[in-house]
Amino acid sequence: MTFLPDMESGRDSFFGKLRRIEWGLVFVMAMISVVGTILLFGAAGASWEPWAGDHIIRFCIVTCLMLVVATVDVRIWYHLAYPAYIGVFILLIAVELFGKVALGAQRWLEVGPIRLQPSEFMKIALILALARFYQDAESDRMWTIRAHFIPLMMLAAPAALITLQPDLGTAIMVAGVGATMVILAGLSWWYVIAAGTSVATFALVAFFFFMAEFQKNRILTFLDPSRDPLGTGYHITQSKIAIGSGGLFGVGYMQGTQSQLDFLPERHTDFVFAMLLEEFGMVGGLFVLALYLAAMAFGIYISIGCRHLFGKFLAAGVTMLLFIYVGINAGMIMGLMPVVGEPLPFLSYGGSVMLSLMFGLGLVQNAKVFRDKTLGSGFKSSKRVR
Amino acid sequence: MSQNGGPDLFSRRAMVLSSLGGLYFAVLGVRMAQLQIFENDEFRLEAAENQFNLLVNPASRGPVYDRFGVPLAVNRRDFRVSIMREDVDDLPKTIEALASILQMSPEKAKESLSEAKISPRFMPSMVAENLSWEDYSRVSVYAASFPGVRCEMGEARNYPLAESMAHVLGYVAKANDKDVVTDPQARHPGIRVGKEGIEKAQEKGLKGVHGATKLEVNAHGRVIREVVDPRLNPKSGTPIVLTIDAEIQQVAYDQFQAKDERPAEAGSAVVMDIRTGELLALVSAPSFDPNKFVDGISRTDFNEYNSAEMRPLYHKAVRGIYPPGSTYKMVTALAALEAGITDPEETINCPGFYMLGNHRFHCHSRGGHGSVNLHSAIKVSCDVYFYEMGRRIGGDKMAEVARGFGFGQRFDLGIPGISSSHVPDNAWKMKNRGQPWQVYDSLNVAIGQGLIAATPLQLAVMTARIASQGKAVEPRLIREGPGAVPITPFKSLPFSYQNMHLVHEGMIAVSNEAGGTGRGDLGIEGVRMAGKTGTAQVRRITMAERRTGVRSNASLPWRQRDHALFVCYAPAEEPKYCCALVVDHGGGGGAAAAPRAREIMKATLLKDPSSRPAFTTRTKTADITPPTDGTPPGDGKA
Repeated sequence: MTFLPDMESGRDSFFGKLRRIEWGLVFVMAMISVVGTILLFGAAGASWEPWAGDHIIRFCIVTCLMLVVATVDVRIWYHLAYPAYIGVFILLIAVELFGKVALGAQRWLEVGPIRLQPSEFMKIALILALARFYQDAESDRMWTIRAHFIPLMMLAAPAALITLQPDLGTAIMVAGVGATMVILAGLSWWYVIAAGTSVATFALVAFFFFMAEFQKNRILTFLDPSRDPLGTGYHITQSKIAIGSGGLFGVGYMQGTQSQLDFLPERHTDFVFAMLLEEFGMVGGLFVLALYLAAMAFGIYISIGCRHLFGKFLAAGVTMLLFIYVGINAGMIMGLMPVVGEPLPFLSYGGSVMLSLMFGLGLVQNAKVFRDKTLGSGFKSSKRVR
Repeated sequence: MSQNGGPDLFSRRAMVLSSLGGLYFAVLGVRMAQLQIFENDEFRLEAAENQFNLLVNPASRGPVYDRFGVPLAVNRRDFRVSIMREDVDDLPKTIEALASILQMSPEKAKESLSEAKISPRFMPSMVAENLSWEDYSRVSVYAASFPGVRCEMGEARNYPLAESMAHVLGYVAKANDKDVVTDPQARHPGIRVGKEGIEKAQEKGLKGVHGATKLEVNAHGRVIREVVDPRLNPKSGTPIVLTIDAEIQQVAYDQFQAKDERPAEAGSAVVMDIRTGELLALVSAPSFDPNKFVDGISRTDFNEYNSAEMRPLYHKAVRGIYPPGSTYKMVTALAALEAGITDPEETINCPGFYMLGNHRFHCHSRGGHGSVNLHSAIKVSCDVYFYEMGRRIGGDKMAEVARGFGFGQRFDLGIPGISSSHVPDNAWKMKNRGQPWQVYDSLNVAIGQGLIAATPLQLAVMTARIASQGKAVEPRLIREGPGAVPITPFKSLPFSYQNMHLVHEGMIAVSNEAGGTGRGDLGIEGVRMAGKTGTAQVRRITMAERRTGVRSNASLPWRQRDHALFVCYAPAEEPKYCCALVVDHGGGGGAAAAPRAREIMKATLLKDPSSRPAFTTRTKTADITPPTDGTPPGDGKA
């Protein structure tokens, strides 16, 4: 190890931290955002208005934010983990009580001019909280379900609240990220398989008894888009036409008839990847998927390379979050998954996802910057002893 | 948690999860390849279907001309106003404004509004058609201030001769649901479908190939641009030239119109060129105005046509089935001569009736004709003579000769609904009446009554075949264009020249000798006509009525009166034209039918259409030689 920063003494300079940031990951995210900007520029008919300009400016802003998150001392994040989780959880309850109904779902809180979507924050807050929990866990019986009882409650409660909004996509993401962290913490695979089986059973029960009609329709239409080609199945049918007509090299930038003539719905948000596949073909699609894979590889690399569990779990959780976003979106537009309305981060237009994910990537970078932070006495505020 | 020696639990699990994630990405890649590489063709097609809308661009319908190029069915410029719902701000208000500019009736405006409401947003819906130039220009001026109102110039079918050609041409009308099944393009508001006559039967050739305007549209149906594709240009329909001479047709039609004291009559007339079989006139009266159907006939107009006793919508000349009456006696005479059961000099006494067993068969002359031979029997149309001949010949033999003259035959003129009628013989009677042929059937058929029935077209063919010395003349209606059949020389019928000549002599006597039932002068010097009258009984006359005196036609309801028939050809010595004419319930053939036929023949002979160069669309300049069958032109002044 060539350098061992003296973190305890606080003499670690800001530039030293900056140098330890994984600039490769920053570069990959910048590439994705630039591709997104190009697509949004084309989607608006060769115009920076209304999406492309915003998109690139937002990216610059959230990148600065990411640098701040990355360089803030890891102990601060450690201490903020539980309060942040509790705060966001309260906000979720507030949404349930006073939230604004938009598009049939109660997702937003309006505080003066600011619109908050607490379910978006919950993804990061849960990662922080679970990372802290496993940092603190001292059990040598991590394969037992008892060791994970509290984390499972921590992920189930917000997931249930978000399902009630109803926002199934976000609920699945929150639960998925949480579950991944539980698995990484060492829960026996048998429990994982058992849980998977019961979730599948529960999903069937939920489908027939608890789901809202539009959620049911989405799933039914996913199973058979031709069931309602002009109604619920319209999105996915048009998306598949856009993708399929793209071919290997695409029909050309701004030449996509599906995208340019409005047949492809939401081409600047949820279906931006379909537009990419139409205009740049499979080659373009594989290039962008490769960028996401690279970003995730950086995340795994940082996670494994981090010396403290807090950082490992942070990096792994955020990487999983990114994976779930890409997996759900790409699967959805290709008709492999139901339409759940999740955007493709950094490619789709939209500020809140970019903000929360970049915040998360800041935490990943933090795990890199402070990778060699040892578990000193000052690190923990409390120690649970079993 | 162990952190020593080999990968720790966290790293192992991270690797397992990463592998699963990688696997999912591989699935994404495979799915991408499936959609983009393997199903690329289908999706490209679907994308193109999304992208383009084809708007039908109607082809110009082929015109129909008479033999000299007189337009019979044409397309005239039609000024119309349509409305594109997508671009209209306030639909009811816009239509209200248009209605006031065009002085449309409130019902018509209401109809336009309801039609516009159900039409697709981006398809034009017709508000008013057939506008005068004044109305059209007035609307054009205001159109700018009404978004979505379009002033267009299209084509509308028009029949300049209206009634006289109505049955031959038929008419076009808006497509109904059934038409749309066979031809989906027919839904277009500017397209009409042939419904009757030539227009219906030759629809395929006349309509041409509709073109299309290829429009690039977005998901909301809004037009982005028009794609120019020369392959999508419409191809005009093929013109049709008929054998009809519009002037002769008009003269023939006028014979049934009310004139001076004479009331309008129902009936039909067929004029034919004997040597070519070309129909110069094919008239059915009363008629209808086909122009009324083009834009949709009103219910009152249609009911008037449909419920009229004289059935104006019915093409009597080819569809109407009449007992031929005495016009059939030439067939009986020829059958008798050919069968050798009589000779021309044999005389038969006519006391005014004929006894078969104890049943009396009456002659039209109550007092009888006395002693008659073949010649005088034709001239005076003696029923008794032909009863005797019929009895001698028998039904099957007569039927054979009748078939030779075209009875029971369906002539394909290229128009729909031509009847073949039937020729009765033993087999026919067994099949249709379930009874064997009886002698009284022979007697009735011999005078053209009873089981025999024929169309006026068949009577004209019969006359042409007699006049042509036994050539199997086939009638033709279409000279050129779709539906025209190639000309083949007519076969000869197996009848002897001498026997034919005897029949000719009888027919000449009818028109020219004293006592002939259809005597009358053509009024053309040196030209004689040969003819035969017919008075076909429609009702049965009872014995009781015979005793008290047969009721006169005038005292009977129209439907029960006799049909008046006349067939003729001229010039008698060198036949060129023939005519068959039926006045439905018109009374006696000599009084009601013969004078009318004579007028028509006179007009035909004076014009002598077969000697004049005919019109052709092929070279645009008139052809000097008649393109029919090489008959030497211009010898009609006999």
